[in-house]
Amino acid sequence: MAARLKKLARLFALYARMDAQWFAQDTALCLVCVLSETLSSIASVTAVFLLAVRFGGVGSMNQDEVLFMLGFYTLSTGLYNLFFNGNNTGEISRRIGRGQLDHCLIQPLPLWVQLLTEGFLPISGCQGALCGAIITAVAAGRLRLAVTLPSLLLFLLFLLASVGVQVGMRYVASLSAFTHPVGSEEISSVMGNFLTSIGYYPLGGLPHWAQGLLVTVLPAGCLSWLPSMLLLGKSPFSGAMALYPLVAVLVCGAGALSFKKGLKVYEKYGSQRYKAMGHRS
Amino acid sequence: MKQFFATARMRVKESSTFGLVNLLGGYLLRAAGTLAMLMIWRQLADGSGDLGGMTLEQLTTFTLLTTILHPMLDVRTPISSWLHEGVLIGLYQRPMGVLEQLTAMTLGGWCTHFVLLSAPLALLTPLLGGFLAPRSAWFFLSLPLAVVQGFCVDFLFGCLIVRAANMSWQIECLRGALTGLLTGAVIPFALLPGKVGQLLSLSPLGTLAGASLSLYVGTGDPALLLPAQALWTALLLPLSLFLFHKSTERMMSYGG
Repeated sequence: MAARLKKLARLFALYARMDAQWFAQDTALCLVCVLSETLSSIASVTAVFLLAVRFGGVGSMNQDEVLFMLGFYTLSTGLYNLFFNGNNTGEISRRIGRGQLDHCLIQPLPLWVQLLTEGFLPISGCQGALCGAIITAVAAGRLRLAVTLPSLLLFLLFLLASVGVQVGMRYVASLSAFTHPVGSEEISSVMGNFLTSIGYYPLGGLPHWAQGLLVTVLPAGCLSWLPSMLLLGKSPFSGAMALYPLVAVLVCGAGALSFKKGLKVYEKYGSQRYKAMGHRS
Repeated sequence: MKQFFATARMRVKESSTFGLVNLLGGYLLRAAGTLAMLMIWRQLADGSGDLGGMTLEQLTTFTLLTTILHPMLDVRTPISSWLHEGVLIGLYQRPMGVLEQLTAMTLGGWCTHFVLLSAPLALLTPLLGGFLAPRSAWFFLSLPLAVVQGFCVDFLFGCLIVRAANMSWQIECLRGALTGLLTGAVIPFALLPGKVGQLLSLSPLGTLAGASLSLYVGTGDPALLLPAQALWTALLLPLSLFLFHKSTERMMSYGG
């Protein structure tokens, strides 16, 4: 176990060094990336915040609670970018559809270790997480939330669950890339776009069936709305505190199972995307 | 024109290259997103009653139209990805202008969206609480202006990508986030606080989607919006053409 953790740490350090080298080699380009990522993170949630300011809150959340939720969302999607944005480890259907799993399968490392570490971008991909942390801290201050060890641990657990849902749903969708490599090359990003386009709206006023749908089958509400409501002590329905981590575990499990099932297809048929001349069809 | 339509047809056929799963999956998720937005507006209307001078019917129509007319209100030619993939270089070898090819390809690409998403949503609009006929006939003048302006903005972003040495992905991300907020396509300007909405509605990005949509639902003032649209189009059209031709020599690609 210790040896495995050591190896993971060594790989994370390796990818961090590679990202830092990019910064050193092309500072201007990297700074533009940093700026673009920062502006994107803030701009994507500004509209909902302005809406909350205009109406004094949205969907049973007041203005500051909406800000807290948007901070949580930015932090969660920022962490996804930080750990899974590099080398398409999150948008996994691209690698499957393009036949690039071959590159991984010949490495002397377990596949899960590669997929867990290859996406790490601590220099060029950390801006969303930083913005999210600042927004959340400001909102928590305005709401005068008591920061205790249990509440902090719960916050971290929910953050982990939120990132898990984002990754898990992309991996669930990726199953079709094993069987339809051309048609489903972008299916993970389609799923990701759906989650992130709904994930920052307060869903409090929606009918219960719609809320149920958006925290289970299409769990966009698990990105920030449900965890924020729970952290603010405003559980939207009974059993939500237990349901949320359960949904995250189930989504991650379904993602892992889908990927494993797809790998069996891949082992049997491989990828037929590459022509003899090396170009992708 | 024969070349133009042949190129557009090529794009229609290309739309299905990635297969039905990808095509329908994306549209279904977008439709689900639109329906979720409609429910969010409904809860806002129930809670507040004040929707910035808009009725729920207008807001519903506005949101549905955002999806129905999406490719026209946020024009995306393939220029950014083709610069990155090196496809654009090949367009110079064809007996047709590059901008004309990009325009034809873009118009062709709209067909699948209109057939698979816009048409069903338009049919459902009355059932979902919206209305089909525009409240102002000025919409029919505003929409073509928005489309032309959209092409100009897209070409300008293409020039920026050329200037920034192919940072397509970063510029696309930034553009996606900014256009969501500044074009008025996601949240109507009327719902924004203070003077923010009024200021944005007359800006070059704000007139892209916000102008046509607000005229359609009858909340926009044509005396203000149409001159603003005409002004931005008159400025952006020559500017984008000039900068695009200036950028030609700087184009480079790593190729796919």
